[in-house]
Amino acid sequence: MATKPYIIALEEHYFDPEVKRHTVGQEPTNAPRIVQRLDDVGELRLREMDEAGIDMQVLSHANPGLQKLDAETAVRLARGANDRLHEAVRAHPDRFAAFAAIPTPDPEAAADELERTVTRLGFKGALVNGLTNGRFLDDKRFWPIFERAQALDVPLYMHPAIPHPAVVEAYYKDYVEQYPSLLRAAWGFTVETATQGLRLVLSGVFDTYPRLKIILGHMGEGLPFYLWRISMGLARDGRGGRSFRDIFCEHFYITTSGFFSDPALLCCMMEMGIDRILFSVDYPFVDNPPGTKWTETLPLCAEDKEKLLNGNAKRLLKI
Amino acid sequence: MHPAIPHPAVIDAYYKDYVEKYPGILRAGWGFTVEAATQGIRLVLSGVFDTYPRLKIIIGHLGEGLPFYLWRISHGLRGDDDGKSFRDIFCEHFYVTTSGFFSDPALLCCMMEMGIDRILFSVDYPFVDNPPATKWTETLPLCTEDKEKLLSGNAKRLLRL
Repeated sequence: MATKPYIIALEEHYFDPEVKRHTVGQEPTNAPRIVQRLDDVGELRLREMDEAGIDMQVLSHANPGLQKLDAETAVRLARGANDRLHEAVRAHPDRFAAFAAIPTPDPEAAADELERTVTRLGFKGALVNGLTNGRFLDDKRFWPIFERAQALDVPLYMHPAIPHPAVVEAYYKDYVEQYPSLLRAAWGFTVETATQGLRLVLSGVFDTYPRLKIILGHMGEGLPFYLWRISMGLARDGRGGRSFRDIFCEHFYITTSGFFSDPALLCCMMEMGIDRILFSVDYPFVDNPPGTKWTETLPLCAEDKEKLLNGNAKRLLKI
Repeated sequence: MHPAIPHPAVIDAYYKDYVEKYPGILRAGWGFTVEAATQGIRLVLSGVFDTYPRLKIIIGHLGEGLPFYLWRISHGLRGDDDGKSFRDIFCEHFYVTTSGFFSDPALLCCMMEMGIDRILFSVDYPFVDNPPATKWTETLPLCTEDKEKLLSGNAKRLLRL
């Protein structure tokens, strides 16, 4: 009988009770089943990891997190939330690791909190949920966060949240009532987060911080598929310099969260290489068993499967 | 369904900051893709294919990426949809072309998701030159039959040429 592979999943969400109190009305879901699992960083979560064969989850706060709060509240909540997350990790250090919730509404404080959580609490980086009060993270005001991430050599996970209201109005509004998920995992999340990734490349942040690493979930929100066309479309602007493709492939990592598709994975492997692709589930918005079951039939050699399931994460997050 | 300059509110929210330095972001670099893909999704959600079951739609630029996302979009909509999956509706009514997108990995992904019968060669002339396009087809990892379909067969059938 083959030994079960060691599996790390790194886009696995939870909800801090204090942050939850301050983001009433912006919950990602009201489905009781999912809410129950977001609130649990103990027995239920571990049991569902065990049932699916997931050895470790890197925990992160679910959207909207701290990104849509005023600066003062965000900073105030961040420390407590991350301290509580640290306690949850300490209770099961062989099963949990953590990405910090950083108060991006105050970029300097966010950089400081990133440093505190990484150096004092052993966190592996930070996860940011969508726009910060309507602004993309490539805005120059947020660059202290990238500077600190590079200095600490930790990645930043760019995760979606409900899209910009003007885009909801122009693109999705007509279908939101009948198809609420159009705003989220079905499409709205994808468009905005892919746009965030693209903007980071165009911003020049990787010239300024050449060791900066960014993680995008959901198969890179599709950016690997488009690499040829985006590189061509932007090259026409005649700016010279490195291509979009080169910058993207040198600084980005992607995960399989919420996207258990062989054709999409193979496309990403061809464009980026297996070393930059990491397994994840997107628990509890997605159940664990379909995720791990999918990996059992992947057309990958044993070495590549090991990289996907744990090796790349161990290296990237220094686990 | 072909792209055009995106909705001004979307330009303002998503692209404005980069338009001066990277005008392509409004067009083939990204803006076209997002809006045309959104149009494709909306067509599926609208129910138009229930009302007109023989309706055929062509989307260029390798389907603006929709074939790549089929699993995720279908999975995201499960629960909201009450009949055929997004995947089924898309694969029964849409054709894609290779215009402005001469990428083997992207083409192979589309072939796996939609089948070669629904993929047609195109260039996007004169925004894209002809020679790179035909040169690309020379080295495609396709069997002869599939290459014939891509280069002429599917178009002859779809457009009754």
